[in-house]
Amino acid sequence: MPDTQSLAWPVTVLEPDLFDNGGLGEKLSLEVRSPPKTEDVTLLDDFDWHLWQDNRLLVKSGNDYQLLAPAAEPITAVEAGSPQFSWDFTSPALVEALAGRLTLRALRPILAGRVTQAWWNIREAGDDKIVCRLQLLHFQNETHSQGYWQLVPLRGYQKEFDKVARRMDKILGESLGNLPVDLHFILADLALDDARPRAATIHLDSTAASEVAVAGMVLNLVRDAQRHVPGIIEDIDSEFLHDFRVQLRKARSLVQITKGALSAPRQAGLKTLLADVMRPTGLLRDLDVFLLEQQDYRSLLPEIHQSGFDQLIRNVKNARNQACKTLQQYLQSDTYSNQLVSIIDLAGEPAELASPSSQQPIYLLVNKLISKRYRKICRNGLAITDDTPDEEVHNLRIECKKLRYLLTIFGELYDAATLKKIIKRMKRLQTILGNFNDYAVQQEFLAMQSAKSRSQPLQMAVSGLIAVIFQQQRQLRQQVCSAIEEFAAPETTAIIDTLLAKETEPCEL
Amino acid sequence: MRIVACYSMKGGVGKTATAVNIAYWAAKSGIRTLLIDLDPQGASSFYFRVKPSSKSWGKRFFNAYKDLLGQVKASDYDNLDILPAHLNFRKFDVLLSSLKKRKARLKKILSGLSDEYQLIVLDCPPSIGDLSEAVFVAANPIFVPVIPTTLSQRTYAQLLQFFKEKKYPHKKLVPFFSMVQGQKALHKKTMEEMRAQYSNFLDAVIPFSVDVENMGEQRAPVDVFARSRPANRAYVALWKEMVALLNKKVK
Repeated sequence: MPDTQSLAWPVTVLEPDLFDNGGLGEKLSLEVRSPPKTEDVTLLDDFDWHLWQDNRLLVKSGNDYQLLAPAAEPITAVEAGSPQFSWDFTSPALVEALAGRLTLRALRPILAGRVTQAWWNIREAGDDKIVCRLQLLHFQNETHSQGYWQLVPLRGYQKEFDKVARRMDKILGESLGNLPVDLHFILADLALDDARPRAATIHLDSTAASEVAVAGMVLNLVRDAQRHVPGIIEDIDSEFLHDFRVQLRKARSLVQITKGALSAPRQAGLKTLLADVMRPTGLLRDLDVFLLEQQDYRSLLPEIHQSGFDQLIRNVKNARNQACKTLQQYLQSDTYSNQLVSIIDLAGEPAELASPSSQQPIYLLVNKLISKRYRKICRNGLAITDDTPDEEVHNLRIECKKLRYLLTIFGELYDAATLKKIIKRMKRLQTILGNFNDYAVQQEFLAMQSAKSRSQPLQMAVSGLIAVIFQQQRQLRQQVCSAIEEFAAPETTAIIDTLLAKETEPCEL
Repeated sequence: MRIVACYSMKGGVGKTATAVNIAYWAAKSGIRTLLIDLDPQGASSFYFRVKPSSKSWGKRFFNAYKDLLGQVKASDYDNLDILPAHLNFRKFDVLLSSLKKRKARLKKILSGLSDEYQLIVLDCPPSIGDLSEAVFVAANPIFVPVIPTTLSQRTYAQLLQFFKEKKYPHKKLVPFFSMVQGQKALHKKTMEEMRAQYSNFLDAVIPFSVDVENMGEQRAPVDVFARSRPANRAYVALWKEMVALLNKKVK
């Protein structure tokens, strides 16, 4: 706890000479603590700027990487090549710090410039004691130039600090006061945050006619999906395609479940167009998912099947590159642009408000839909036993997804804390149902890979994997009933009723 | 927060040099350290170029930790602050004798600094009285520099006897050899005898060295002006043993 706080002045001239040669007063002298260092730096972050949002900066200068966090020692590492993903780094400390923040996303340069930094000790004649410290931090690129001198106090030397501060005021003009001078502050000061990519949003009016609100929301989801297209075309990471698909799937689900809000031809048109746009994206996503999970799959196989698995990975990678090219071509084609224009035109058409359903306020419609979905999940879910065919389980997953979409798309209409509680209660069930489905999809995917290849080691490795995944899927199946019971408990019904501001009634079974 | 002391009833054995150098190494290892100069001669404050700011504050030393904190000064090194001594610290024995619970007083007041510091190093005056007893209660371990001579051997035995009589845990005392002159037969013989008699001597041995004497002229820890010299290596070895001991005690 220093006696006093630091003071900052804006940098006008980078030379420290202006403090030297008696500039600070006869009894004070400046001594270099760490000499001025200017570096060309690149700031790296993922598409959503997760590091920036979490107050972290990953600064690259040549092969040197520094992860800066407020009030903490930077994590530094020298890395050969250009690590793109958290797992590409060799420094365990960096991998650990980045993994949770970047997850599957790739790093990309978000800003470049030159950083100059230096430290001086200010000594007082007599005992030649250091009485305070002076820092220079400056950032510059083609569009920005911003930096600060910062006078840092030392405990027990308040008088000396005040004296130096008065001299600095005379030389540089009055101080700006105590500022958290670091690179993050300087960049925030340059309004860098304004450049951060943000999800497309619209404000929902709870009393708006359902047709207007649903069409507006579809339009918004499609526009947001469009933000991810350049990342797919550049093939930066798998999440661009994933997010693109999620937004389109939400839009399609919305069109389907809000039956009556849009006119029948508009609903059918949008449904077809959205399905058309999604169709060419499925293959690449399946291949991506398999490659992302490859380490887990590899660990399931004994040594004897590793070479067959290597062959499988090579085949999948080749297929992935091909699928990626095909999708890139499609996304740059006239077909896609025309489909997109058609969707936007159709969703953007003026409201007809031809039916009572289309006229009713959106919150009433969504309330009804949430209530209906929840009851359907309870009814169908609780009817599932350990012997029910898998098909029913898959149908339940789709119902859950529809409810989840309703809750997230129209989240703005509800109390955030209550909404969070429901989503939390859905989580276990959705995870189990999701994984159960993924296991089925993966078995199918692997069988297809096996059928396409003549390599015996590959076919054996695939058979082994299918057998293990099948077993995992069976084990998970046993958890389905308990997860449903947990979700359909009276507590969830009560939370749903609180959300919809209704009196609690028992769940209709 | 840990509190350690450099203590000996005998003067001129290297207490201050040890306190200064180990506080420096602790801080350099990233440990937030406060060196409290309890010796009214103020030698460790002098080595760090730090002066006390107020003349009369010693009277309030045992009142409140915030008073204490108000007198702390930064050293020239990161993570290292100094509580400088003043000549009126010589009245501490008298001051403590007038206070209730005087033996626990120092420990209590220092415990208030645990938010600020991870390690407190007490540089003690060469005496035995109420202040020393307050140190014996507050600090663990108490590092005792011993010059390998007959007189020092006797002084160490007296200190152990004192601990026994007053029922202080004698395990707190961690002796090490200081100001050792390898060429002196007496030093060698005494070291052998004492190591045979007491198993808890640290392995590190601080040599008699002009570099340690030069701390007065340089007003800095040995590492700053004689980095590659034997005295500096000895203090590094001493600090490493001490830190191992501190870590062990924490567990």
